[in-house]
Amino acid sequence: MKFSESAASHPPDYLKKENENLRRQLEDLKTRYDLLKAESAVTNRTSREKQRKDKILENEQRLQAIFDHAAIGVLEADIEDRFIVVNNRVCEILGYSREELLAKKISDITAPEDLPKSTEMNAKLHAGEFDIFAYEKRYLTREGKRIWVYVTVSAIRDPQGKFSRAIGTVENISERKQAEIKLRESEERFSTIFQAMPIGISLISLSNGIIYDVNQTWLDLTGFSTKEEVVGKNSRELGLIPDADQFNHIIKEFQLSGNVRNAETSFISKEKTEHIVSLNLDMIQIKGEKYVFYTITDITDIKQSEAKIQELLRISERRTAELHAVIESMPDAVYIGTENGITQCNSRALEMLGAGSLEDLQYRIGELGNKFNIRWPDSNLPLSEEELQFTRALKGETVIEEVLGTNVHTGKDIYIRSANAPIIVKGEIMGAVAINSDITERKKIENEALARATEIEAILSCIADGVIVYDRKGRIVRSNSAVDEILPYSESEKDLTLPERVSRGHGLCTEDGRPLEPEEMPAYRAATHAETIKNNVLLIQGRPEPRWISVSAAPLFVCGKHTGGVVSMSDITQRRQALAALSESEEKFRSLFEHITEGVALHEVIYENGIPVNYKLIDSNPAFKEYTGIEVNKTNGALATELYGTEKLPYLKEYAEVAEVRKPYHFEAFFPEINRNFIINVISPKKGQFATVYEDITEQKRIEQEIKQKNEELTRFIYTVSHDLKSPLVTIQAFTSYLKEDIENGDKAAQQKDINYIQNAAGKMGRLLDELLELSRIGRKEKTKTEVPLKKVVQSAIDLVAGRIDKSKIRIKITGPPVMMYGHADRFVQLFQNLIDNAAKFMGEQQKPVIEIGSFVDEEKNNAVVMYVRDNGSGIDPRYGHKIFGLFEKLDNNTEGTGIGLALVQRIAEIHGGKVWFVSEGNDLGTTFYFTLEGTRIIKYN
Amino acid sequence: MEAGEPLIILFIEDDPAHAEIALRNFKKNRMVNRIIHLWDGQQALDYLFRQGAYTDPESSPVPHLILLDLRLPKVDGLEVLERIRAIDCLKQIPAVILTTSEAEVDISRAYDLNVNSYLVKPIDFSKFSKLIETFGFYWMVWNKYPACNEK
Repeated sequence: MKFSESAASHPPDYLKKENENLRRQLEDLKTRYDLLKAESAVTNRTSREKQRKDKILENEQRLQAIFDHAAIGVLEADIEDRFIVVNNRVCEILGYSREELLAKKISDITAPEDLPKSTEMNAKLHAGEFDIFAYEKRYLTREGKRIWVYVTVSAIRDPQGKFSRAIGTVENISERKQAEIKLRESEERFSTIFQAMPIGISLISLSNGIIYDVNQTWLDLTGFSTKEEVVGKNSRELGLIPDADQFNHIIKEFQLSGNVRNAETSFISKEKTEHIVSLNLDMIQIKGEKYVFYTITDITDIKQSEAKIQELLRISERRTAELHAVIESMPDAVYIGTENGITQCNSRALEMLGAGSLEDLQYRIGELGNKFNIRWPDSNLPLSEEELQFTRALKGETVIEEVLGTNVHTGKDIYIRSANAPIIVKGEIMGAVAINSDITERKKIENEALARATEIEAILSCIADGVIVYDRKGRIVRSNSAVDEILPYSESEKDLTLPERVSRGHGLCTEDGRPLEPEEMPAYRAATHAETIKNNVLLIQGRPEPRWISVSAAPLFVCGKHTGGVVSMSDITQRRQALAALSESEEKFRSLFEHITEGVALHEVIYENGIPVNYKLIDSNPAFKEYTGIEVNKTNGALATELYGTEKLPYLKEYAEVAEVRKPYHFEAFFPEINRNFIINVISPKKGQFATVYEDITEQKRIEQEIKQKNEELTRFIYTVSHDLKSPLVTIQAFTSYLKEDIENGDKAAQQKDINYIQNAAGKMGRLLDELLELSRIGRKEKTKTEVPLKKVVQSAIDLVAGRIDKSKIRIKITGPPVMMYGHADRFVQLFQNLIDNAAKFMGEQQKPVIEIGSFVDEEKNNAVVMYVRDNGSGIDPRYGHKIFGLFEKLDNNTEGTGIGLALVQRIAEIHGGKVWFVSEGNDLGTTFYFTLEGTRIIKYN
Repeated sequence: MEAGEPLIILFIEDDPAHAEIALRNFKKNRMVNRIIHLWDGQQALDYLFRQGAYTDPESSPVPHLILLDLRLPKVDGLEVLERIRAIDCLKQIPAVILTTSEAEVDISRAYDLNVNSYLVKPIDFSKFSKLIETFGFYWMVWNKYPACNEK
């Protein structure tokens, strides 16, 4: 019997054996069957043969049963690998029915991946290479599932040895296979790990210290090449353990606790090098035997590294200390930290922000920003966490910016120049460093300088004067905008030096119009010769109209060096024009001042301790002189007290008030010296000064007076009429009644008396009315005035009163120089008539009545001609004298007359611009009536 | 004033006709009185001040009532009034003005000077009579006078 190789080598032994047994049995049976069949064919006819037949049948049946119910699949295939016989088990395994299987070939149910091998094996079997083979393969079940089977196939040959049939046994080894695979995998895994672990592993028997197994790493570690060198030997034997005590110690520990962790010890490798290792010991059991499972890690390198690290740490510490010292010594604040806070800073850093210690800075960067009130300088807005320079440095940015912060200790604001950079180690940002300088002072100075410069700029740009700064050559360095309006240079001209500009005809001239030489120009003189010029008036011709400017120039010295000059100019054209206009205006007013009829005087109030005590005359016009008699030129500046010769100045209070309050004031005044009335208007042209304007209102006053008088007269007239006319009426009425009575009574005497009364009264009324009319006529519709000699008038008057004169035997005397009167002759006559009549009436008891009529020149009355009518009669009681001129006034009712006479006289005198008065001592001492009339003069004979 | 004692009226009037009228009326009404008639303001003052011709109290007794015209020669009626109102013993004497003047200014001035009454002579005679009659009745019968001291 030839076994295929696979059969020999693949399956495990017991399976092999069983298979062989079965196969042998089958073979046996098959042979026997064949034999029997052959035998039966020969010996079929006898009953012994029948018994043998029955036996055969029985065996057949037994065979069949075995065949059918074997736990193993049995099949038979023909030369074409088609299934001839299959038992139930085969059907079961494959999931086909017998009918289905019998229609199939081996190849149909073989998995495609195993088909090549299957076909090959079967072919070889057919060929006779071997008679039996066994192998594992995969079948495809009816459902298409793959199952592992162990197939043993043997060939049945004919006596010639030619292949006839194949018999196979099929065993479902799926589960076994899976288990096998898993085990193999596990084993592989374990093996890999075992071998490949960077940790040395050894398994050593607990009882005797014999090495059971080691992995590759262990070998590498210890320097042995192969497992065989060490397996079965003792570690001590191998010379691995240098320090027995240490090792025993470890073993003891192991025995106590059942395991050991990270025990450090050393061993000697095969090459006699010492290694420091870390051991872990565990207990495992294999097949009932206890082993110590060692894991060994060579920590020689690590130990060396550790030493190195220690060294590095020491260096690092020293470096850190150095760094710290450097940071500490810096004048600026230095911070080192991460987003979680400041990890390091120098004392200057603490000081700058008023923090007490590093703990005060142990906040997240964003919070620190808030704590120290970090803000943008321009807007004063706080920085957000993202904006903080430190945060940005932490993100990798290098930032140098200026911010505002608050020192929480002093509460003061500080300007900080913050330079921040990330700390990058090996390409990674480990943190950030900030170096902050306190630039508050610098900023203050900067700001002041800026403010100063801005101020100057602002001043220059807003002043109306043009300002130009020149260098020493006369080129314009800078100028303000006002210059362009005054000196309209074009842009190109500005770059020229002065001489160049001049040669182009800049149009600058002296005040009179002579063009300026370059050396004369104020700018040149200041810029080149360091001269200072003040208020030089220059004329700019053309451009487009002539303009006057006032130029001042000064040299410019910067740090002691003469760098050029500064020129300022203002356009005084308008001012000049204004001045001219003012001058003209003044002319006008001065002219007015000089020529007006109103007197004007300008005064200034003199104060003493704030109280006005005097005023002085500043100016006055001719009219003023006329009114007051004060010389204009002589008296300007004179004090009022001197001028008017009085300590107590009239109206001082009122004048001062006007000068103070500047509200006009006016009042009336009468100057007896010149006999004129004025309204004095007081105004104040300027505080502390007042001007008095004298308005002559004498005429006005006179007219007013006249009107007033006339009104009074009229009123008086009316009253008088109502009274004095009424009076006689009353009488008439009364006596008419009485008359009636008396007529009834027949009282003739009484009747006569009554009638007398009536008549008298009526007569009186009549006379009154006549004289009133006469009075009213005076002054109305008069004929023109003429000259008439006094003598003539008197004569006419005397004639009219002749009756009374003769009756009373009055002597008339006419004395005095010849006088020429001027006016209305008949009025004059009336006047004299009344006076003479009065004189005659009031002779009283005078036995030698004389009436004297005369005239003389009164020096005291400005050489006016005074006329008089004098009597030596009863005189006028001085007590009542003042009444006599009143209308209807009679001092004595017993005398005749209406009482109008003297009123008439007065009226006549008035309309002739004259006055009437009387002098009387009373008591029979006579009376003299005096009167003046305008235009009366002494007749001068040549 | 005692009952039965004649009322003394000082009557100052410059117009004879008017004086006549007034006196006649007084007489007609038979009022028991004594009327002293003066012609001008000066006389009135002399009388009241017991000067000049009027020093004798017998012939020049202090009047109970002064009846006064305004338009008087020498011294005006209002001036008389003013003068007597300035004197203690004289200012008590009631003064009545009887005048033709209706001028407001006169009336005003008169009352300023504390005149007791102001009467205007009507032109109508019957009215005038009535005036005097009423005047008489009022002042002589109804009105009460202060006790005058003989001074």
